[in-house]
Amino acid sequence: MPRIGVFVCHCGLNIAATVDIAKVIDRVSQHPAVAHAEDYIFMCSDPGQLLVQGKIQELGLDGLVMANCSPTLHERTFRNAAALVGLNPYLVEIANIREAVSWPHMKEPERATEKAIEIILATVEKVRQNTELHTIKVPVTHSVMIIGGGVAGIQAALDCADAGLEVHLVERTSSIGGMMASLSETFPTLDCPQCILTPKMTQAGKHPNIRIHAYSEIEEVSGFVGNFQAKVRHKATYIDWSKCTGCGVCMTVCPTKKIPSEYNHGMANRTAAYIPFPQAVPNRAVIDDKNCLWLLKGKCGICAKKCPAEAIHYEDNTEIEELEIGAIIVATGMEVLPVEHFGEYGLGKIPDVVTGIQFERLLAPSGPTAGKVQRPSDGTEPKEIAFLQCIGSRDPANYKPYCSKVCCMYTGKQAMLYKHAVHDGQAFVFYIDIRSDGKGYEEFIQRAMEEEKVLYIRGKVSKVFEDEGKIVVWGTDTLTGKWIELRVDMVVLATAAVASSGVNELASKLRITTDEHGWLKEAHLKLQPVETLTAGIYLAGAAQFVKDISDTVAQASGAAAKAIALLSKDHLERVPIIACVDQDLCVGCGYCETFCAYGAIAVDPVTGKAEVNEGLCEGCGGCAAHCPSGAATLTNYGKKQVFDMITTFTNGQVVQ
Amino acid sequence: MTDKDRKGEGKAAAGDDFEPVIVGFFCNWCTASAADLAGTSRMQYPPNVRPIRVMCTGSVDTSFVLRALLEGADGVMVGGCHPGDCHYVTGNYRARRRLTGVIKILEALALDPERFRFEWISASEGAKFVKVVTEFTEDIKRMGPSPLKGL
Amino acid sequence: MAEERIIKVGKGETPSTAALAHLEQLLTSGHLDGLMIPMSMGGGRTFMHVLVTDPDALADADPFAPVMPVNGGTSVSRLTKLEAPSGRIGVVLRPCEIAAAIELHKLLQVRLGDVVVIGVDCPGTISVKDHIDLVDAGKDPLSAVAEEPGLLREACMTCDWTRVQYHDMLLGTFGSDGTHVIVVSEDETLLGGLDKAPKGALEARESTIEKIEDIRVKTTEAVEKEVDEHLQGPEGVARHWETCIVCHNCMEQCPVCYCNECFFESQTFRYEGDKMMLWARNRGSLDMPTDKAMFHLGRMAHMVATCIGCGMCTQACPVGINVGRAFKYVASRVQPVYDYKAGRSVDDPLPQATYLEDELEPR
Ligand SMILES: Cc1cc2nc3c(=O)[nH]c(=O)nc-3n(C[C@H](O)[C@H](O)[C@H](O)COP(=O)(O)OP(=O)(O)OC[C@H]3O[C@@H](n4cnc5c(N)ncnc54)[C@H](O)[C@@H]3O)c2cc1C
Ligand code: SF4
Ligand code: SF4
Ligand code: SF4
Ligand code: SF4
Ligand code: SF4
Ligand code: FES
Repeated sequence: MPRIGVFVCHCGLNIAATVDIAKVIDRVSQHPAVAHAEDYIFMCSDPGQLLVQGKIQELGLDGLVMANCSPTLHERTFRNAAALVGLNPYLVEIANIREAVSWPHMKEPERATEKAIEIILATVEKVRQNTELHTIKVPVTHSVMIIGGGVAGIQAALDCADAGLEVHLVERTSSIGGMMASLSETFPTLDCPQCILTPKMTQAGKHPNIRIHAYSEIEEVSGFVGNFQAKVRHKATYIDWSKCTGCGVCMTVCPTKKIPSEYNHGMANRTAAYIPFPQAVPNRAVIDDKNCLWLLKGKCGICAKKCPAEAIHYEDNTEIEELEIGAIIVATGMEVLPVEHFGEYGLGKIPDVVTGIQFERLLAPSGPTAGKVQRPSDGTEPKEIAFLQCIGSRDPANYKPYCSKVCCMYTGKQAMLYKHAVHDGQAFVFYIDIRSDGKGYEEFIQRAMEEEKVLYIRGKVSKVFEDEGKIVVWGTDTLTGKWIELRVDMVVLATAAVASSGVNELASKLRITTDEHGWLKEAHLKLQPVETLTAGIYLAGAAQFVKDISDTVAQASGAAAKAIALLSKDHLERVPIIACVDQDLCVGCGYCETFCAYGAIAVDPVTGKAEVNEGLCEGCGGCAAHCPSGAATLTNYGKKQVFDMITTFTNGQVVQ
Repeated sequence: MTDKDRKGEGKAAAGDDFEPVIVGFFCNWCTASAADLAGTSRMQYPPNVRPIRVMCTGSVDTSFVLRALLEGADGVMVGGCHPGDCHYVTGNYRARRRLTGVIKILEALALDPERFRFEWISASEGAKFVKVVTEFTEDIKRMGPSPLKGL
Repeated sequence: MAEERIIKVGKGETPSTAALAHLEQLLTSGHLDGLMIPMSMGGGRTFMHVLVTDPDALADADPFAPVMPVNGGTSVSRLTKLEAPSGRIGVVLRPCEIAAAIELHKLLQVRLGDVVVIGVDCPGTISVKDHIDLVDAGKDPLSAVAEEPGLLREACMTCDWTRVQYHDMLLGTFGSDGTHVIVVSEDETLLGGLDKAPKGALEARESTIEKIEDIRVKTTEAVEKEVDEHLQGPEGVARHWETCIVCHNCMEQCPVCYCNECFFESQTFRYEGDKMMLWARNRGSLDMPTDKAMFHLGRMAHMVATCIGCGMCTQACPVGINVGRAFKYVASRVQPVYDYKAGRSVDDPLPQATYLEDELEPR
């Protein structure tokens, strides 16, 4: 017969005022498995814990039921106390008789006492069938893989690398930098990305602990926290990067010149052999196989002839590299809704209607117009510009229900920069609300309105169309109720931000989740905003939801700190409450495998039996409930344990 | 007092003094926390529900529900995280499918399916926990002792 | 493209012997390396599946045997589960056996792709006991059924699988008035030497199928009405299983109860004496063996979503309980909830192996 000790806490009067403690002690003592039952005024206090420890040693107790507050509060306290005197912590269970009994049943002391007794007895049934468990130790790989080389990925990479971790920064385009590299200047400080981002990019490129896998994507990720295996696909560049010096000769000779530049968001063209922008890191050229004449038709080949480094070979040099990874940070950022949308505002039809990110390029000193604001249609300087906010945002009926968060601010910035460039120009901003809730943000918008005389009109635009070289904007001013018609030279649409393309496929490879719009899901919006529900995978930057640069960088450092903390030890400790499979019982039906969201249990094709991966199992117990034969179980949550608890609740004490 | 006397309350005929036995399987991450919150806020509800903490509704076996009903519970309740909020990603969706099966079996054979209740109650919904438990207790009281006991 | 051919039933032949001759030829020619086929046992008292490799051993086989002691899905599972045999094995299966094999395939207990499924039209089977009784009384079971269709098992009279739902080769007898057997297959090696099906043969089969389906639907409705009246509520359920001896034979013979050891036979259901005393005291008495309802309802919860309605459970019950009636009825109420029909297709995912985020609300 097991020797269970039951310790009942008064919690001052919190429990004792409602629950008849003496009666509880009397009744639970009668259970044959209960070797000792005792009460105390504050069991969690030092003397309380000493009392419990003393009894464990004195009476040789082999299991404890601590009847007190919710397990969320003191389960750990009592488990540690027991462990200190040699009782396996997993032989200690809490019977919650405060939150679940004395507090919600204050007016019914008798029935509360009965309920407390039953809860304790049921817990006795559970604990007597518990087995000793030992923390699972798993070794860790001291490396981090960061997916996405925007400012978030760069910041996280630098932080991790400075902490001594090996960093693999995987970026699908041929240069790191992300959206920020395409910006003109940044609100609210008006720093240019060349001034603040380029140095970070260079630093990342030179850091001895950072390896940049540019032009690469994630093929597959397996394994678990501390021990991921990643396959990274280095896409075909057709140029040997160990030879390429980034001189750019291939770009100048390439005859295919009419490809819209991704970096310039279509405001300029690029060649088929190209380096996306002068500050690119790594500064290496790639050949775009969808446009290269040689690769498509076997004609041309000029770049190979002219390349001074003889780096070009037109061979598919796709390579899959396998990496051992301890932690993963996902920083895949965002995009704006593609131009195919918003025909109603003339986008894609009227050349002088552009998106915000396109206008950034027209403002940028490094851009195709060298910072001169010019209409894409005829190169003239626009004297009047209308900026339309919330295009596709806050529009649950047609596009996205959420607020894209950065548009108010960048529209203000763009209007301001436009005024700096065209002193006699007039900027109009159509807005629904102005959201300027960051440090210095409201002041920034006020400056745009007051100093730069940007005209803010509260209202929505109903129609945008061309008329005799002008663009006509119809709308209503919702403050005055007046109908408005503006004739302007250009229109800039602050289109909704959306999650990066392909993020859903990536998420499923990583076994993390996205919300309905594709934003990566955090473990808890408030309290675990950088963690995901998959241990060892963290989020940084706009991939989780639209963010401005300050928030992006802050979260990136947060994610880096989490990864650094995780990998600061040689071993990871995991709670040993996990699934296990009785190999004789298992019939290999695979129900458990279909259940597990972590891929932690699977039927071995050779043995035909399910096996649990201790590193991956999160201990939810779902496979056990899904397994008909009872072959899969969750340790210390056996079916018989639950059955006996049920028996106690429906029939009273199980064994007399 | 023998167990039989003590359990006399469960056996009493339907009527004002019938106090049903209700077994609740509450998810550790949400409904059990909601119950804690209700307690901490000193909200009062009938003491009929006997809670069993589970890691996730996904771990609630069909046999737990049937066992409780056949062994004498007058009602069985499962409380879990709202769709999309399961701590283990999809456990609640799986539980909903699996336990809907039990409800449909009970329905098909007219075995008082109303004695089983499945609710989404998040950790912050202490008040919802109280409401559901109170209503369910009332409902079961009205239905009287379960005829499934000892079937 | 499926080819439609015909086996002519010659003088002195029956559809059974004619079809058997074709199968024998497939074995002889080496197009099949083995054949799992119903074989007469005890001088025709019953038929059991036998795995045959020697064409000469086929003499007592009958692809259309009117009795099904064990669901062939179970036997295909035994044959292919651990490791499918090498070579091409043809397995002669009735539609409800194919249905079982389909479910077992999804449960990783059968490898359907590793056998050649030879589906046969099935007008229904007689229970093993009735078949043996008829033979012992010197009667021909087939003529007996022709006279008294009510001799067929209830599962067969209410069968949902009149149209063979999956096969590599079909042996069709419906609509043929005994003069031919229709053979359909995409695999030329299985059709070797057979003539093209004459015009109208398939149409005749189709219209016979529709007629049989019609009758079976009506019978199903009648049986369901009885369930509605008698098998309802705790008393109804208790009455239905009143004579049950909790032997678990229904589970043993159920093709989709596939576990190595059934949960309901595990230690979880072995109790300390005092616990049983506790129940006895609280309830006034305790039925022994214990857990009758727990077993039947618990089994339902495990597998009724994959119950294919073959009625093997009823046939297996030593005390004559119509277990299958209850299971089939509940299955017909449970499966539609998941938009599922057990045994229909290998492509429909098992209800409990999947989920939708947006479904089954309000609960
Ligand atoms: C028009 C506009 C103007 C803005 N102006 C300002 C401003 O003035 N001030 C300010 O603070 N903020 C501004 N922002 C916001 C700013 O751009 C973001 O805060 C910032 O870019 C977010 O950085 P990130 O690294 O999270 O994402 P991103 O910059 O989007 O970087 C993500 C990176 O991940 C890569 N990637 C994506 N998917 C994959 C994959 N599957 N595998 C590998 N790599 C992948 C992408 O190629 C990209 O390089 C502006 C945004 C817009 C749209
Ligand atoms: S307990 Fe949960 S996480 Fe662990 S193997 Fe089972 S289903 Fe997967
Ligand atoms: S569900 Fe159970 S029997 Fe089936 S494979 Fe998993 S552990 Fe084995
Ligand atoms: S429960 Fe009965 S009818 Fe259903 S599949 Fe099993 S044996 Fe066939
Ligand atoms: S009743 Fe359940 S545990 Fe038993 S054999 Fe059938 S599926 Fe397996
Ligand atoms: S075969 Fe018949 S007697 Fe045996 S357990 Fe099943 S229903 Fe009961
Ligand atoms: S964790 Fe609460 S239902 Fe899954």
